[in-house]
Amino acid sequence: MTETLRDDAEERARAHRADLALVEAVLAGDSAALDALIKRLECVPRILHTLNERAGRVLTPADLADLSQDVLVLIWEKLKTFEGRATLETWTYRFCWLESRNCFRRVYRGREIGPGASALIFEELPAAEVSLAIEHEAIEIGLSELGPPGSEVIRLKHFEERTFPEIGSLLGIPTNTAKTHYYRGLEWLRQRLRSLGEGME
Amino acid sequence: MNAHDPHHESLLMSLLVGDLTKDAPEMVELLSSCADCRTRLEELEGVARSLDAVAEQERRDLAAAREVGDAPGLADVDRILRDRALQDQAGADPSRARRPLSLEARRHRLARPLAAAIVVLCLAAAVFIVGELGSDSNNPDPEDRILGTDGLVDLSPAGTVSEILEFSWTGTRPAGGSFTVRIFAADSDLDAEPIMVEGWIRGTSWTPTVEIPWREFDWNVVSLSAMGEELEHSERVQVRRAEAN
Repeated sequence: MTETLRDDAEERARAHRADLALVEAVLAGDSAALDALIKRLECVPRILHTLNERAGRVLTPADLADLSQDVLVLIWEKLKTFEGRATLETWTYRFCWLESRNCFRRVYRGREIGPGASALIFEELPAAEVSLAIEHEAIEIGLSELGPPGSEVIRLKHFEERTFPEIGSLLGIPTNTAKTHYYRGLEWLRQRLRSLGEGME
Repeated sequence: MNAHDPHHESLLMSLLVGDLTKDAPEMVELLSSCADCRTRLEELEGVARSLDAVAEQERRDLAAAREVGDAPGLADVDRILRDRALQDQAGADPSRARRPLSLEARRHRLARPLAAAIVVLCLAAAVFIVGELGSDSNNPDPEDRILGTDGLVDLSPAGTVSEILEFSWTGTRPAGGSFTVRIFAADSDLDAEPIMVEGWIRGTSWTPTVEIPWREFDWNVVSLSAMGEELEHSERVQVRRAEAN
């Protein structure tokens, strides 16, 4: 069991290093790497489509294509910040999630609803879905406000399922420091989520 | 963080990072003697559960996305990213820039007689269109020419209209970019500041939400990159509203 977990962790670490190498090659102007990256970033419209389906088809196909274009441009601009601590797809997912939330919100406000666009029918979403969306949003807000290194340690722990020694090694800090950042980050999130929760009530 | 006994903090941390379990004697004692710690631990475990739930949702979404065949925007991924790569290369090496060329520059590039003939025809057509739009075409400022292969043309309303419901134009919005409509005082200098600006327009039209108060004005449209840089702008178009009956 321990052996399997270690193999998984090593496999993930190898994949992350390969993704970082790919991005670095693209930034250095390698055209073969660009071809490979384009193939990988085809995940963007697919992720956006998935998020839209899960949200009850808030956006029309034309809106989705527009959003996909915006997210791709944003990802391209941020490419140099990719540090290989997650796969490209996971890293990309956060942009998709945040931008789709912003877009859904604009649709909710009715600013971008054109003739024929699907309106939001929030009441038709399952309660669990709404609850998870609110929880997700609060967590993302909290993590972005917390900032590094706390947010990085928490993401690595919960989203990448890394151990504290792995986190320490990835971030170049002692294991105990990683644990302290984790606890402080969790405590900070506890208080922040509480205040966000009070704001939503 | 709330003021709390540092030893209690240390034990809570040990529990949450997995160095201690709840049945360790020091934890049993802490949780039985400190109500604040019990509440805090419950809440911290709740945060950890929320993080796990969000992470799990993320993994499910990614798995579902892998199963998606076609999706809106999929066909454009290649073009968008290659355009961005090309623009970045152009930024690093200006000689490789694929930037919009002025009409003058384009004319110089077309050396062959047939191409030159086409250019002459195009220029004649452009002069005719500009004349029709009624702008200051007698002595156009080079900076005010329509630039780029996807030039911003067919602006309306043009000329005399009684009511302005919509401003529209033809042109391709840059990837991730937007259009801005600028309204100028009638017959103002070309370097005059606009008296009204509407930005972040994603389509090729704009319907004012407030009444345009001026009976006479000029306007143009500017296309901006995702980074807010001006890429090209149209010529100015005059609007002269008819007197109401």
